[in-house]
Amino acid sequence: MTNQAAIASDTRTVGVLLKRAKEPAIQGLSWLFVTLGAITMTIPFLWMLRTSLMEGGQANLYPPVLIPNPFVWSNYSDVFKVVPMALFTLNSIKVTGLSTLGVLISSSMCGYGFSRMRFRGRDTVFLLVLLTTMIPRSVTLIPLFILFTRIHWIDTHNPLIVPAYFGGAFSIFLMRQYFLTLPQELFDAATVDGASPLRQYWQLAIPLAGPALATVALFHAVSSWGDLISPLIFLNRQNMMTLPVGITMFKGMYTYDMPRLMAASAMVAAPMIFLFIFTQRYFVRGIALTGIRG
Amino acid sequence: MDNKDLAWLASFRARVSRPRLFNITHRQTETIYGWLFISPVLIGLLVFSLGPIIYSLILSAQKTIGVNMGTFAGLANYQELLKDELFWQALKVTFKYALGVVPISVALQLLVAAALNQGFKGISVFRLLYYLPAITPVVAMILVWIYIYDPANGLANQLLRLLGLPKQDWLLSIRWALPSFMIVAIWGSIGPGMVLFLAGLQGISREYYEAAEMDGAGAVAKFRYITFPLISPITFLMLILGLIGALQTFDSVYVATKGDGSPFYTTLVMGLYIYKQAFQSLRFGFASAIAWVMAVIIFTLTYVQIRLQSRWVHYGG
Repeated sequence: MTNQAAIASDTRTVGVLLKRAKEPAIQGLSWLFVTLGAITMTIPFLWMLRTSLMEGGQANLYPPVLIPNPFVWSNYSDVFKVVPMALFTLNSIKVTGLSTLGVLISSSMCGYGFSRMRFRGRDTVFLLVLLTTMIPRSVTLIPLFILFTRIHWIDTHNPLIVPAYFGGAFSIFLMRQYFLTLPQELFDAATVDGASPLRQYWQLAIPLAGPALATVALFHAVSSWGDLISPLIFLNRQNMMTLPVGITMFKGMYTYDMPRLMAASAMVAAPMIFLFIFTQRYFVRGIALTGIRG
Repeated sequence: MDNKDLAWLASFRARVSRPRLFNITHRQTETIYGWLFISPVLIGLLVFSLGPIIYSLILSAQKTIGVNMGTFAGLANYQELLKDELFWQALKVTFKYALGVVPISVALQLLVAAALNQGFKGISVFRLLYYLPAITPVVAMILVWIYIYDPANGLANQLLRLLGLPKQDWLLSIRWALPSFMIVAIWGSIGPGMVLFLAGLQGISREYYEAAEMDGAGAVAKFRYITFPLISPITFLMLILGLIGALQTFDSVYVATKGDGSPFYTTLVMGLYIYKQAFQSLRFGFASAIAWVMAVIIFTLTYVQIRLQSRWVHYGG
């Protein structure tokens, strides 16, 4: 099967290539354009890496030096001495981990309800869920701040974690779209066998939903890991801060210590970059399934 | 026998053959389970969306002091808004930003996707590289860009020097600060849109192009009459989502300008102004009024785009 598909797609590619051979100029220009673009995409990352390994003085030279000399690996460990980086990292891992768990539970449940259950009012509620994505965040942030102040959630991680357990329009939409692609016969058979909807969800739909759950988890993890405004508003105490606010504080204190600031940035960016490299296909699938970036 | 009788018969059989504790039909069971499954988002809607939306409306009609209940003030906040120079400045900056970022982003997303669709190797590597900025936390990325834009020793000025152009002050310059942020935003937005366009382009049947080639259509004509109409739903989606996102920009400007929209408020985007009013001046009522003006602008623009789509968006090509 797989081989046949590979051969089929190969012949197709060959056919396309032959066709395109007529237009070598267009192809050459395209390649040049895409390559230049890719270099532009990559340069800031390389620049971050390069600067993070330099001595402070060298990073301020003009014209810029391309390769660090010597390589100062200790910049990375120094970050931990200057700011409580380990604490920020632990906070970020806790917030991202627990909120991702929440999104997985709530979006799979709700997505299942919106796709495989038939009941009156379902589509109205679903539309309402989608419409809430249109509301600018600045509208809800102020009331939420007041709410969280009243229930003494300020300076706890709850405001960054708990809402994830109560849905998220994008994740629900993605799970719903995925559950809709599962064949109805599967669920009919389970019903005939006497499986309750809860068992069908847990023992039939969830085991089949691995790829969709992975996509939801990744998109949510990326946005939670990089979230700046929620911790900025809901947290005051330094020992509760997550990484994005943490390195912003670092910037305020040591503007001219570029190498260590870049080392800190690289450490914030690295987990997501590695995660993405190994799970690229789930992102692509998620985008294709919903047309929305996380 | 009509349907009603059949249904009655079925329910009668069910009652007779399988005695149950609760006398409920299959349909009722499904309804109960259905609401059970979506209960998380029902609570979420009430507590984290609809409730706050209503409360925000109330706040916008109040004079408030801190988080305490304010006093009713009618449209006073909105009236103050109209006379507030910084509000108009923020509105101007926000629109300049969005009108610059969105069309260029979408055009580049489409161009890169079209170029990648020419059938050469290594698409997945290119896709990876183009996507990287979008998954990296904005804070981490903007810190590098601040350094790149450094007027004294930044990479951007070095690039200008190699091209024989004069140095710029970038983020410190009244003229260049906002465009500098726009460049970062465009740079970061290409990947996700491009992936979507690429999927759309790969879904277009070769037969359309072959037929057009027989009729003697060139590359431009093929793009104009085949590619563009067929991917127009994606273009439409990216324009709508791009605009909604661009009008709410906050992170990069907050970090790079230390939260004040410097220099001389030339980068004071609306997200930043609302944040300043709400969480620095603690004027929750006034800030809510600004947020609602922004919300209405976003709804209106989205609605206009949806109404205009029938002129150029083709579904089910």
